[in-house]
Amino acid sequence: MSDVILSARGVTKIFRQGRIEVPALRGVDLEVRTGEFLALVGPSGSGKTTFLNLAGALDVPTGGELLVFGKRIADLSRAARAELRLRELGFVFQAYNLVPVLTALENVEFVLELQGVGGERRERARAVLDELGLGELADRRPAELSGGQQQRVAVARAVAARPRLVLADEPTANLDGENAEILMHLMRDLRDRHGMTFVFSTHDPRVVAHAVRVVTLVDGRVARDQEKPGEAPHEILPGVGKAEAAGHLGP
Amino acid sequence: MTGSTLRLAWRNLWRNRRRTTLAVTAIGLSVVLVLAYDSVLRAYGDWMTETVTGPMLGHVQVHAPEWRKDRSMDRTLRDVTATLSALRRDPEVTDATARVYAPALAAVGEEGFAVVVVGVDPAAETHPMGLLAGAPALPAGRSVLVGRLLAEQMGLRVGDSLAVVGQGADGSLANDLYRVAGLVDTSVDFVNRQGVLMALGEAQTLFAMGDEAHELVVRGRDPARAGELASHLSALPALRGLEVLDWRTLSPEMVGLIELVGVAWLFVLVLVLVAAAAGVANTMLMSTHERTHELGMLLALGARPGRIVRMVVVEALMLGLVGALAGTGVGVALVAATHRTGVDYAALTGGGPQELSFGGLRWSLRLYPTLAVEDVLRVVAAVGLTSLVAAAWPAARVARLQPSKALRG
Repeated sequence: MSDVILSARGVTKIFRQGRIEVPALRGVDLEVRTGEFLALVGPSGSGKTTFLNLAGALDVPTGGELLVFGKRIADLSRAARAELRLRELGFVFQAYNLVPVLTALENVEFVLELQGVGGERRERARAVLDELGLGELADRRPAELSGGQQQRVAVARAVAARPRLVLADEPTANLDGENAEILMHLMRDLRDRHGMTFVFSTHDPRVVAHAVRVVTLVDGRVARDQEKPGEAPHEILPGVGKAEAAGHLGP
Repeated sequence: MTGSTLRLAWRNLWRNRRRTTLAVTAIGLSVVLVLAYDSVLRAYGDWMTETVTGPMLGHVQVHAPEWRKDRSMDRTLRDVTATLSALRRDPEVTDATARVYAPALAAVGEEGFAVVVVGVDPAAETHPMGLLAGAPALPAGRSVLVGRLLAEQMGLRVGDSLAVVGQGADGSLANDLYRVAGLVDTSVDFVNRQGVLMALGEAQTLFAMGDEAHELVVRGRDPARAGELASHLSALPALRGLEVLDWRTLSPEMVGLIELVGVAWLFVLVLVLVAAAAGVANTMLMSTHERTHELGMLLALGARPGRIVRMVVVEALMLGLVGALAGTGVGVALVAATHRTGVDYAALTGGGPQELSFGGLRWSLRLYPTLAVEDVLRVVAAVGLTSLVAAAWPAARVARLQPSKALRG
């Protein structure tokens, strides 16, 4: 059985707007294991983004217990959460979110720099772009890239630092069908070859079709948890671990 | 600080070119103003110091004790020739000369005027810092130069004869007839209004002073070190028992004025710093506010808040320094352009007098703006520091950003 890298038990999140309390998560129970390709689906306001923010250590739960790589998110300091994001997590956002004044290569390089990667930083960033078929776009700034290209660069940035868990919030929301397909193939290919775990939220049925496991959130709770038969992560990725992933994504 | 922080900060700075250009222009114009003001103040300060330590006082003066109190004719310095020789041999002394001051009555025709006869050594007073700088030649014999204002009052012209009557140092009557060889305009007010200048030997003869004088004017290498020079000279055997004072002690009111001019720039600098702080803080607040989502994304990627704060501070510093450097370029060019020809403040203010009289000195309204390297460095450093202070507000806001909230916008 693969390792559990994310464990949520009765996780709640309540936002306060003045005196009004707005519950976004009402008790989520979920486990995510290494190598999963998991889609979070559900109507707007069901808590998908809130859960991804908690899983990504961008926020802390109001109640319950959330462990990411064995660490209790609620107990981590701001700096420790930043360190966890830097070392273990990758993010892909809905609206591309590349730094507009940096080229594609520099955007990827930025994360490696944050990790303290030294002299070989540029070579590693270029290798990641090349691996994702973006080598020719390396010197372009985001404004010179199409939406699909920008999102692929965002994926390159998310995986360049060799995270074990990649969280993607509506990654295809701004893409047309063709680019959404390309992106999903790219992410799934990365998962297959490097053993990275992907958790992404989506409304798009074509995207859901790529998922191996589909978790449906309704009103801040898990309403359904479906795993496609024969595609459990430990069966899809026998023997693939982080060491092997590192070998594929640069030196 | 990494190169990527600098690169990112620089590129971020120019994301909104119009806003950054406006801020840079505002800071730059403020710097131009302060440099222009500095250059005028420095011109004033230097000119005042040169005037006070030049034709008027020199760096150090030597008098007989008590002479300054009553300016009595008989309180003289003796053996002046030997004393001057001793002074001129001293390695700390660059120039030394003697003067005689004698109140007298001067008459052309039947009307008499109160004057001060000033006996000077023409050879030692015609250099640029001397009392006769730019004056007509003073021939040997019975010739005098007359202050222009006095000459106008007396109706004197060059070539006229002037009768001088006074009291000799020994109490005898001193009188003789002199030819006016020229009119003088100096920056020392009393010389223009009351001065009748004659050769030192001629004055010593007229006032029965022999090898005596009332004042020795000594110059060293640096007016700022005149106090040390006075201490050094007072220990010389030739000056034992005499009053040896530096120009700061002789004219404390002028020193006060020079020092006041020296600190006046602070007031304008404060205004400039306020303008720079407002420009930087406003630009950086707007810039970071617009980029809240992006900054949240950087935090999400694992950037520590300190890293983001550093980026904002570097941006603010760059903004201030770019403005300061642009302003310095324009300001220095402006000062350089006006330094040679000078600026006629009388014309700028719609005419009026070309000179003002104050503290025994005449102040020209044509100034020659000048800047020292320290003036420029001071302004640039001040704008840089102000930018850092101004960055505190936006930086504090960025430091408090919660990534999840920032990502929501």
